Amino acid sequence: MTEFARLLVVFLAAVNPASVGLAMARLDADQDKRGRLLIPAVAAAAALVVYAAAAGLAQPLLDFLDIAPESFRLAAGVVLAVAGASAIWFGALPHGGHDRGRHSTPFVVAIGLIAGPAGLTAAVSYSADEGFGHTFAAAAVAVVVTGGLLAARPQRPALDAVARITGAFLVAIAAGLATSGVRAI
Amino acid sequence: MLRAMLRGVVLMFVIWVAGLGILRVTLVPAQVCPPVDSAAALNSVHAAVDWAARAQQPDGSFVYEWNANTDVESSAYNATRHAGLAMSLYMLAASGDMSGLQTADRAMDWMVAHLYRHADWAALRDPFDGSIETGGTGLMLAGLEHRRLATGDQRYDGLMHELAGFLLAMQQPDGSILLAWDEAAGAPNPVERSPYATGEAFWALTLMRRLFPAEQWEAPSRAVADYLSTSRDRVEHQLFPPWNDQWAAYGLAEMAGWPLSDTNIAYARTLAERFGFFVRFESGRRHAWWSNRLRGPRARSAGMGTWVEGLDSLWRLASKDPRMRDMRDAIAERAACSVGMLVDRQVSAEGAKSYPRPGLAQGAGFSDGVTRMDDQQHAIGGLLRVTDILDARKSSK
Repeated sequence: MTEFARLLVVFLAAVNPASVGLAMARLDADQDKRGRLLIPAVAAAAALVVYAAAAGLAQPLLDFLDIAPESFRLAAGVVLAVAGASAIWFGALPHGGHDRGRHSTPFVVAIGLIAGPAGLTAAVSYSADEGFGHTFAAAAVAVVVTGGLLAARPQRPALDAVARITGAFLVAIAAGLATSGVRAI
Repeated sequence: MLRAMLRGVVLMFVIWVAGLGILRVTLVPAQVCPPVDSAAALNSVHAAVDWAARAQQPDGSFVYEWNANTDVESSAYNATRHAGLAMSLYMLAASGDMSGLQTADRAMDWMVAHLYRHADWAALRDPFDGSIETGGTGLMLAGLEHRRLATGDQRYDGLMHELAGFLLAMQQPDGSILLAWDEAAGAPNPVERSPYATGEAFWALTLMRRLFPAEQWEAPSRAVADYLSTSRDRVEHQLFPPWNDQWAAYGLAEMAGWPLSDTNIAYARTLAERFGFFVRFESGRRHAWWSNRLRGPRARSAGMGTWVEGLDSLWRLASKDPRMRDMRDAIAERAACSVGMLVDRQVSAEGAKSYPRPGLAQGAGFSDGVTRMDDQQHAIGGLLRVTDILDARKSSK
């Protein structure tokens, strides 16, 4: 597996499109057709900006906090493990939005779900280790996939199963990341 | 609608801040590496050497352990640590600085007076418990080897061969070296092993090859290296392998030009990773109750000194062996961080004035108010050579 393919797997698991789709389905079940297309597009665009900032500012951020990238891997592993376990348990990722309507939902989805703690922590950790380009590209693919899934509106039972399986993958990835943080110099 | 949205945003913000705060305090605190240069490191070495001179008794032994809180010296002693402190002083001499040579020679006289002889070999016997162990003997031998490198004096060549002969007598077919000689049985104790002794003996054996290249010291050294690289952690039941063995790192660095096998290099890489992790973790500790609770108490100077010794040795190996070249800069960064902490925690002349016995405080490293001779031993051993790393980093910047 190439480095980029590995990063892609990481970000697909960290963003967990199925889990986002499930949360979104619960959040705005009564959206009209226009809203169903507009919301994923706005959400994905907002999330891309957030990921670009996280990946682009990773090293300055870690320097500011006096944290070695190797040490941050351990913390990132914990965050990813919690997110993975949460997906296994709940299916849909918990979020802070309780409102409905096209004005508020994109923000909630973008920040709380697509660009959630797991994805952003992964963006900081992998960008510090492997550079901005590959990291942001992988995150962008995951975001676009998520946006497409939101627009497609697959059936909830399918989303639920995939979300939990993806969560299990994420736990495994988290274990590997944390271990690499311990084993690094 | 706006109020509901704001409520969601605020809730999310609070969750994020709380989560980040917990992470910051528990897993990723700021890693503080006090700045240090080679001059400061050498000053620290000399302060520790002066401590050894002041702590030396008329018979050549040292103050073993001193509790500054109670102003009580421990009545215990440990011949292996005695040999280790003497060895570190001889290492300094081998680097061209003879300031600790007299102290080391007096310590050597103490060891020579406590030799146990059997067949054609000799070993250091601990006068306090009567034990005859490879660790102390290995470090005594390493001390004599550095003495010879420093002075060219051959008077101890015969004794060096006798001591090395004991190490070979303790070596097993798998390359391991048992800990203790059973005087009553007239044979090695087949059960006792030590995570330290094998590495200590290993390093001494590798130095024998440098001093006596025409003799057969390579095969037993390689056997120990292979045991350490492939079997030690399993045989000796290390829960979190690899054992952080700076003596093994010394030996591997000595073997860099032999050269080492791929298996040995793989082991050396894991050692570098282990030492690096310890340094990163330690740099996040604080002298505060919450840090003690969350991350444990700060490491004692002896422990940090061993990390520097290990990292310094592995940096030298990485400088010579292309199979470790990719780790060189990272090793240097961790070594510099550990040196900074070590120097920063050493008691200065000014700081020593607040202790009940300033002479036993100045130049010492303390843990919970206690300093032990190996705190200074490993500080000297680690800091005296690491100046090469600090200078290399300075010039590269």
